[in-house]
Amino acid sequence: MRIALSSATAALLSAIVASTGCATLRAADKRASDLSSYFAQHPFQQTCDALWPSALRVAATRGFPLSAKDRQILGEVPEGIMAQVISAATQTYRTQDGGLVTETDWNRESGTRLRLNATPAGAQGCRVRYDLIGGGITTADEQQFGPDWNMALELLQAVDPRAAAALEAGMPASG
Amino acid sequence: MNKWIRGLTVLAALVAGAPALAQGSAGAAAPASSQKTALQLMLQKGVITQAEYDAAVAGSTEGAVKEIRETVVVQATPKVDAPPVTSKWSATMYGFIEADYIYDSTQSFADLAGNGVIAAHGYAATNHRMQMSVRNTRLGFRLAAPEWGNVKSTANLEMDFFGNQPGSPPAFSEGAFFNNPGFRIRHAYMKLETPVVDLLFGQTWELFGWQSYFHPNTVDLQGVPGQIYSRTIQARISKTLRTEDVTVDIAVAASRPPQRDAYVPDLQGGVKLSLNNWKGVATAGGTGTSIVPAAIGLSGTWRRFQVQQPLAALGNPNTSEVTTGWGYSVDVLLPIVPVHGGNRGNGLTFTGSFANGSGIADLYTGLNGGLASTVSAPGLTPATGYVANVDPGLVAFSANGSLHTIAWRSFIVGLQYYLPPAGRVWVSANYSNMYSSNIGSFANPANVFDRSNWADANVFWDATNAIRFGAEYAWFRQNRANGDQATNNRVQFSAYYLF
Repeated sequence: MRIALSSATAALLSAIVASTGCATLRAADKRASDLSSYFAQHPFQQTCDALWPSALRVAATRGFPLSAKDRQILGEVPEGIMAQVISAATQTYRTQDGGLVTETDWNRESGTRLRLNATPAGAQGCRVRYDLIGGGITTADEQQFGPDWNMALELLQAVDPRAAAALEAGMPASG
Repeated sequence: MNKWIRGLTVLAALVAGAPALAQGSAGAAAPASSQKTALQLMLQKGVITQAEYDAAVAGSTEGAVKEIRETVVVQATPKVDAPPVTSKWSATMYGFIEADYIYDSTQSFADLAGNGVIAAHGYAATNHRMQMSVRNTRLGFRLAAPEWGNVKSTANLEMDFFGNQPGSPPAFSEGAFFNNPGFRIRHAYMKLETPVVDLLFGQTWELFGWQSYFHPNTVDLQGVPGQIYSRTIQARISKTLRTEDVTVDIAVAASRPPQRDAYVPDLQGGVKLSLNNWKGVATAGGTGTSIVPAAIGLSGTWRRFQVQQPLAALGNPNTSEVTTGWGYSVDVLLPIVPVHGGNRGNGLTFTGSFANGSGIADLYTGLNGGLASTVSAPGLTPATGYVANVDPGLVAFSANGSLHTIAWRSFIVGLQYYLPPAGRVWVSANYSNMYSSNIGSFANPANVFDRSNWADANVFWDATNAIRFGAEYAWFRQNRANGDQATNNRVQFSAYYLF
């Protein structure tokens, strides 16, 4: 079978795809870059232990189910035994540097889950990352896709709304 | 009645009400009431005595309820200053149940068509077939040990029901083939992630083609014609370099040799570049829907073949003929209309793969082009009792006894569009093309195909987060090396329960 496509049509299609993709990519890059720079320079002004319940709540609110133990941190009822068996979520554990780490179950709408990482920044500060994990909801193909800084911004909105508003004022929209 | 049994029964009644207590004070009255009801029922049935009932209602119940309530309240209160910090093994079960209903216009394929040969002439070419199968049902377990220092170790075991059976229809019972399918390992590997490199040992996707990241979205059972689709045992070393905007994966692998008697691993290597802020939605196959970043992958393979000489004039056994195979693959996943914030509605994603090589038929599904033997070249007379020590389709002897790899070039492209508002309904279409420049030289040209075209159109619907339906029309066409053409039309409906 031969597919006939005139060179003009092909060029037009390529241009549309390229321009759409590039414009979207540029805006997304700028926003991610701004957020990344901000959170690199401005750690949350709470200890990781104090900040952790709020960090978990942002993930839960976004539709990422937490493990039974992490649900208890938020005062929520643990899910049933069967749900725990098929849940990919882990419970919070402490790292050697005093940070906290956990992983959520799959958000079945987006086909992604999260790895939350809180790292101490000084005596009273903490940096929080939400790394996306995708590809493995019903397969063995799980991969980590890097941080979602919009979720860190949501955490800032929860614990320091004024700082979050000031930060958002100077950034491209999230789309 | 034994006191122990009665005691346990009372305890079970108390515990049965406990989870509801976790709902908080508003729900506290209801559980107490339900426990009392349970106790009354047991009294009526004679499971417990009146005295035991009175004691339970008056004293034990209150004590137990109070204790449970206090426990739950303490656990439920956010421990702001000290989150529970534990380190445990985790095990997750995942997979899906899949029911496939398949109509074919010829009698060429089983449920998994792969790159099987389409009947060009005769009864099978002109009569139809209907198959129903659950063999693509899948069950997996993912294990993760507690992180040890900076080392993360995980393991994965995944099976389906395409396992070896005594035979396939018509030589073997259709009922047994479809109703009692054999369990089969898809993945069985361990992975060690260290700050320096990541190590993988075991069976999983081959590195060639950076599988399964670029797989197309189709209802058809993978691998479809022209699709690089293969898993094997391997030892892989990889390194992931992450920046905010870009992730680069570099990997090399020593995989199971395509011919064990060549005693050299299949060597594969590749690099993949992902653009982290350019995310789209993609479904690999029929079930693996995920938001993923745009990516391009390059990969290659090199393999060795050493096959016993077949010529009758030289006797049997005899010396070996040696040759090498090679291949490269370029793969792209491009979110033409990206998605934001986890909502896949209006997402449009392109997937494409181009592969070229020789002696790489095993990297596709069930591909030999109809070349059932390595010694079927016209004019070639193998020694009596000669059996080639290599799988068919990879290499073949010419009439003069020299060994050649079978060349294949293929591409597959696809588009998938997730309808607004939520992307729970989506459509996809794919097209693939394959060509072999030399397979016709090593067999009767009427028996092998050197060109293959395949296209399909699909519609999917996520009825719930666990239930998915898919419907497909697929068109298969092959050109025999002598110019004959064979076509099969397939209509498939599939239902999935995802967990």
